[in-house]
Amino acid sequence: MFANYLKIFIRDGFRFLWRNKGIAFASVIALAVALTITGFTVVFVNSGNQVVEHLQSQLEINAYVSQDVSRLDALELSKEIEKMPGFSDLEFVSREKGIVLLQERFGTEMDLESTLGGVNPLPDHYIIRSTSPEMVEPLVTELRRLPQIENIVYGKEIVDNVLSFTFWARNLGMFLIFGVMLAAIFLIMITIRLTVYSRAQEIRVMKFVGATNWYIILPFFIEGLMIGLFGGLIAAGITFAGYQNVMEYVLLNIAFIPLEYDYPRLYMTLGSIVGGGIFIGALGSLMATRKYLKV
Amino acid sequence: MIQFFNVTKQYKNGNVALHDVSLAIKNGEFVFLVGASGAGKSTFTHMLIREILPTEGQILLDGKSVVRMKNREVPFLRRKVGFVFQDYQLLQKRTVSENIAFALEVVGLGQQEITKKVNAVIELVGLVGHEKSYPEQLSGGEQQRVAIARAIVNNPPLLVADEPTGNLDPETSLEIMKIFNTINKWGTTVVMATHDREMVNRLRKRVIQLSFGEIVRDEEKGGYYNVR
Repeated sequence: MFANYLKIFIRDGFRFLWRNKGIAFASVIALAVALTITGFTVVFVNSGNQVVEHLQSQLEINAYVSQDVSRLDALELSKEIEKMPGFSDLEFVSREKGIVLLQERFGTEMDLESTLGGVNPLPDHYIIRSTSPEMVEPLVTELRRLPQIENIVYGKEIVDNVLSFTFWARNLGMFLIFGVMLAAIFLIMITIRLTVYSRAQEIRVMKFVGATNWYIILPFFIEGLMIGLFGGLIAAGITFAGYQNVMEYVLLNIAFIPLEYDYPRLYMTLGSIVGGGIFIGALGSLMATRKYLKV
Repeated sequence: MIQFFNVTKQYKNGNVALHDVSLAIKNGEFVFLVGASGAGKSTFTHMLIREILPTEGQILLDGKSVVRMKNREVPFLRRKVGFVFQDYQLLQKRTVSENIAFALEVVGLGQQEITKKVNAVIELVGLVGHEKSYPEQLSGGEQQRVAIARAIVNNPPLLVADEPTGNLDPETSLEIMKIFNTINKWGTTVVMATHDREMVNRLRKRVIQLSFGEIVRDEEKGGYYNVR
């Protein structure tokens, strides 16, 4: 009996879809458009976040300790720095380690020690990270108050750019996603309600011949599920193609943007788009059908 | 089979459709429900499938209360009561066969059994050759045959009809009435609300006349005439 029912539900789901292909097509397109915009927004915000993360990882404050300060006093400084507002972590780089790191950066082509005549000109220094880009400036101000610190190097412009970019990308992204999703759900509700309305008589007859509520709902549910699935798949396809093309363009033409292909995250986004489509379609069907069940 | 105990129905607008109606209809009876428009005939028939609930009183179908029935039991009640409407209520996007099969799919029958039963009932109502037609391609009489076929394909013990010949010419009405008569002879109880004077007079069945929501006449082998 269950198999008989299942056959009917799947047959009717497809049949409804086919017989109302006009409205169904409109629903699929509306959902696809909404999900594509959402997909692009998510991918854009993700890429923006990637850039922000990259830039934030470079937001290090290099505080150079005066050469007159002894190693012990230089190490003691960390206790004061750790108490500063906005402090996240620090790393002490001794002048000996500094020269090794510098040598690593130059590679084997140049022997730094012999070039410098056996003298290490580097001071001890701290690499300090702040809790957030906003806290870089206050932290630097505090560090300047320490007489033992001779020089401070950090990317002021980078900080400012990162700050404005983060703010812009995150807030506009969230705003856009929220607005578009709301519009999408609204559209689906209207279209599915239209579909159900066109079948109000069918539902009425179903009730008269003794159909149970779940028997009536399931084909509509499957129809909604399929509209959602198709809309989601189209949107995922467009988002995928769009991502490929935009990334290719950016990587070739705007090389200074630190962006990389992030497929795991892209696939997660595409999966969410398809899943979201199915969810919206099914939920829309259920909400639209409920109203017509009170015959 | 059907028992009404002091059934009253007052609609929200204050209209009293049935007032203190008590009656019993035995298994296998054929009952005409007659009366002017607004007498309460439709309210009566629709109460039998629990589309309308009484404001007072009790209705029993085979000893089971229709009034106290839970909502989830209603579909199973409706599978035991075939209902035929004046306006046929066929699904325009389904063929004749599909319209009839619909009532069996709901019950969960397999395709083979559905085909067998549908073919049998199509023959009974005289629609052989129209299986693949859509309702709009059929005449009014043919559409009503489809509706009857759909109502009886499930072998319900009770068949209720609300003005089934209301939209049909006298000749076609007679054909339809013959089908109801045949079904009744096979043991199905038939309750039919009608305005069709000629049919009532010709068939001479039990006639229950309603007027302003009350039973004014209940006559075995009655005819169609006014009491008040």
